[in-house]
Amino acid sequence: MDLNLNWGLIAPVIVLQLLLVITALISLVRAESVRGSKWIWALIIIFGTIAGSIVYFLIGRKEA
Amino acid sequence: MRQAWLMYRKELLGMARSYQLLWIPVVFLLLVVMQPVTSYYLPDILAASGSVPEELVADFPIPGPAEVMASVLGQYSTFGVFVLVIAGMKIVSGERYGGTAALVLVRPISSASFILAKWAGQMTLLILSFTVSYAAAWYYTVQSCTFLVFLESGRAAEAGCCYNIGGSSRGNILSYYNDRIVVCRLYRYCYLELAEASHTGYKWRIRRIHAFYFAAINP
Amino acid sequence: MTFLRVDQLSKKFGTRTPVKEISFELKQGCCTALLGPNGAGKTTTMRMIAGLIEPSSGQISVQGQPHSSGEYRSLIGYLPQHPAFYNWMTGQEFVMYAAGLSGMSRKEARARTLSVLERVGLGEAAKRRIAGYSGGMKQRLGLAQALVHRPSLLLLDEPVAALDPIGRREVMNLLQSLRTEATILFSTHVLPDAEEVCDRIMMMRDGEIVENGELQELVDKYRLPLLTVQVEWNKTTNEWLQSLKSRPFIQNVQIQGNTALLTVNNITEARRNILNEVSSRDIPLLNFQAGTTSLEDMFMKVVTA
Repeated sequence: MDLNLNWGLIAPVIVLQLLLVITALISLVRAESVRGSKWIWALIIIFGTIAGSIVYFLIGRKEA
Repeated sequence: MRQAWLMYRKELLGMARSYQLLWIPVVFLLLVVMQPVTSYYLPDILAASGSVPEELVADFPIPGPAEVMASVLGQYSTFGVFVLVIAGMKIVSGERYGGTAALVLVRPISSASFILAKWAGQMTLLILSFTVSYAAAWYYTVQSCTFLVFLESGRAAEAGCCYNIGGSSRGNILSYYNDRIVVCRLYRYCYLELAEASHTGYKWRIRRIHAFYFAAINP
Repeated sequence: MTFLRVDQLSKKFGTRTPVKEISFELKQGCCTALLGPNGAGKTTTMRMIAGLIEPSSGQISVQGQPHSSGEYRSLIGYLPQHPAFYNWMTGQEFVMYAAGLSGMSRKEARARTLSVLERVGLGEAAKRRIAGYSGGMKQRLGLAQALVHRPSLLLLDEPVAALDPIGRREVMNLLQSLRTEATILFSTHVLPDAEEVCDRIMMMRDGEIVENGELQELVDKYRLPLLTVQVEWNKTTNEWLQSLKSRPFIQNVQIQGNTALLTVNNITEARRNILNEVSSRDIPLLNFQAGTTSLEDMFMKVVTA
């Protein structure tokens, strides 16, 4: 497959994605308690990247 | 009024502490940045899927900046609104059923200012996300720069001509210095496209421009 | 001086009427317990006084002024039954926020916040997130936020119900020390709590106030002579215990196994009669005791009636 990645175009996406995942992980580590186990959420965030992080923020956090 | 301001500040503090003030703008940014990227790679993705005739892929137009910006707006109205609605869904009901509202509403404030503060908080988040991400989309898509393009081989007129085959509003040739040097105004993502074309030479639209070398200069 | 006056107050939720036309007064500086079993309407009454729900009918007046939701709410400190906080705030931030909402200036709020947190024993934990607080700490934080704006009336809804004995002790001591500062109305379903800190007791059952008065008055009113008769259990003695109900000098009989608790009008007459019967019928008596009923008995009677 002749798919040459254009790094100039892709790099910002990767940076933002990393920012999102790191924010989610920091939030996860700092949280007193989450819905379900922290380890499972960590896996979801790391392997689910964007979607995983969004799902974590939306339903994983216990807001009060 | 001071109480409403206090409640508004509390809303913002809550959003910052729950990382909403960071993650929602980032998701919006990703949304809009992904849009031009997908448009850009769509022909490749279609080609890779194999089920689309090659001619169709080859003719697939790269959308112009206006089209990209419009589809970015489309992203907001679907996914962006979804994220905001889910994230902000429980801001009032959560306080009522969670019991925190009782401690607030028992104080000398009106329920209107309670709701107003919450609404203003959500609005701040929305405006922040929208501004940041739309500015990014604009920078990514529309903002134009003037480039000097050095053609390694081929002819400037031919380059300009080929260049115009691909899309309607991707940039314009400002002047030719000679056959080898072209000054053109390009949109940022076209610039990226040209860069790629120069490295691989595989995109047929600009295939005849064998290699470039370019630098951004101030218009 | 009357601080709060409640007139014919009712609340209807659909077909249910948890509070039925209750009227009472709270005297300035008085500590009153609102006592009653779960579901008696205590919380609904509290919430109406706090202005969180509208009464279906009736009137609340504070210091002679009819209830209008401006001025009056700043005079109230309210601790709900299950106080909930913003877990992402620190204890200090929450109390400061509460003080600000009650109209205190920033500087005043800060000074007052530190002093109330110290007072409820949260001085150390003030800068920690509420999410990490224990149940007892949250209850004390609830008390701190209710006190911070120096309210004239403290409404405390079951302040010790959810606490372990140590936490309960701490909160009860705090209440003792608050009696001089504010008029207190606190609800509970446990009589000893009410007896410990209050001057007055109001008893609620099924949305109505069934008893209301000074603690001592009520104790005197319900102090009835009580005889406890315990016998060796057999068929004859059981029949005899059962037959005691029909004696004219006995008001009420409560039989628990081989023991009968007799509420009587005239202790002398009753004692003589029963002892006579015991000896004439040769009842194998195990225990015979003369005493008085307590407020607890009265409470049980009111609650179960």
